[in-house]
Amino acid sequence: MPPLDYAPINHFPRGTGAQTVQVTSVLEQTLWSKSARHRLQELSALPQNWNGYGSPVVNKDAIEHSFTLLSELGKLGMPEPNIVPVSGGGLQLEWRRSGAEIEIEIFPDRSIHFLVVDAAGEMFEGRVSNNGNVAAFTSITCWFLSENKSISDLSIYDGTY
Amino acid sequence: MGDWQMPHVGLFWSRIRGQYPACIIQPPLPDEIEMFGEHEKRQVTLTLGPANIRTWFTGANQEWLIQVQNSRFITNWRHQPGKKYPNYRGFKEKFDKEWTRFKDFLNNEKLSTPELVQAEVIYVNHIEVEENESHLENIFPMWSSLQNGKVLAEPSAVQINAVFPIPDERGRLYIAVEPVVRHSDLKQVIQLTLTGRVLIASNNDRALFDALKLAHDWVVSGFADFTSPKMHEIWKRKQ
Repeated sequence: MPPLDYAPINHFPRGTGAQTVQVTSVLEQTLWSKSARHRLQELSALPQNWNGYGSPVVNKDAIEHSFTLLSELGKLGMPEPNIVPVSGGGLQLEWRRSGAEIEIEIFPDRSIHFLVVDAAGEMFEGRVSNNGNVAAFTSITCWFLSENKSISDLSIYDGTY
Repeated sequence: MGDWQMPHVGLFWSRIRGQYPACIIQPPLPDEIEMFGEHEKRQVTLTLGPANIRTWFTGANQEWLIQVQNSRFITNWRHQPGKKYPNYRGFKEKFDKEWTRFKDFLNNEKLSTPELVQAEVIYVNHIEVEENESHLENIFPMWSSLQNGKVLAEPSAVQINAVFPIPDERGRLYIAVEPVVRHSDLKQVIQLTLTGRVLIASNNDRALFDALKLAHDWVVSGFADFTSPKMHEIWKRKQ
């Protein structure tokens, strides 16, 4: 065996950041990532008019963007959400914990609307544009995972990202 | 390029906007220069002054991308439906054209000429395999799957990082194998990334293209060596 080269393994190249094909390493997936992926696959197979009110099929971009968002939220420690289709081709992700709720709707144009409700029923809602960064959800995640949640503890400046 | 600043990004974009209508600011990439001998063991980077700026200039059909950073000039080809992979010759021509245009811009604006340090060629490939089936030993002959372990059966996931020195301390070839989920179709695939990095012998374009060619040769030969003939057949790869 040749002597080990002092190659900078810690600086192992990870591409030039040019990949438009977004991927998540299987080794970095959360425990629930696989079941969420299978749920999204199920929803992507829903037919036209799945709700009986003429809704189009679940949009491909909404599926992709949902998975991107879920991958990021999973890394932040969020538990598995309930994933449901929304009429118009979008998807909604839902979390409930200790009386608090988060609903995130992903639209076919990749824009996002979110609603946060605390145990006292106080609400906060906002939008993330289709160019918005999913990192916008970091503070919401921290809030959701903390104890004694109240909307007043949620440090979001004005709901516009 | 110590004097490359944000106003120059806008000026440069105005020259290429016809071909590259979108301009996006990105976080900078780290400077990773191959080092050998004693130097490689001690590498401390202190950054003074303004942070590095990286900008994407994307073509109308998203196929070609130019990236400019204080310390990098990058041309990327990105697969688009219906578009054929350009061979190295075509890719080199494209890089040469964009590099020349960029240098002309720097010259016209009386900005400093870049110091050429390292050339890099990266190839990313997605290999589609059936989920829950480990075919790694069929794809990568260097990987020998565990057959008769006392307690260990087949691993559920494997990541391979291999580094190969290019002789005469010219650079290194990095090969990374990683199972990933592709967001666009939610498929689990094996991502194979080959990165050839070669130090540029002297500060001129001839040395730059020599280094690029060497990096490319190592990526191509490394790919052929690292993957199995069976897979070459499947990929209809010419040997």
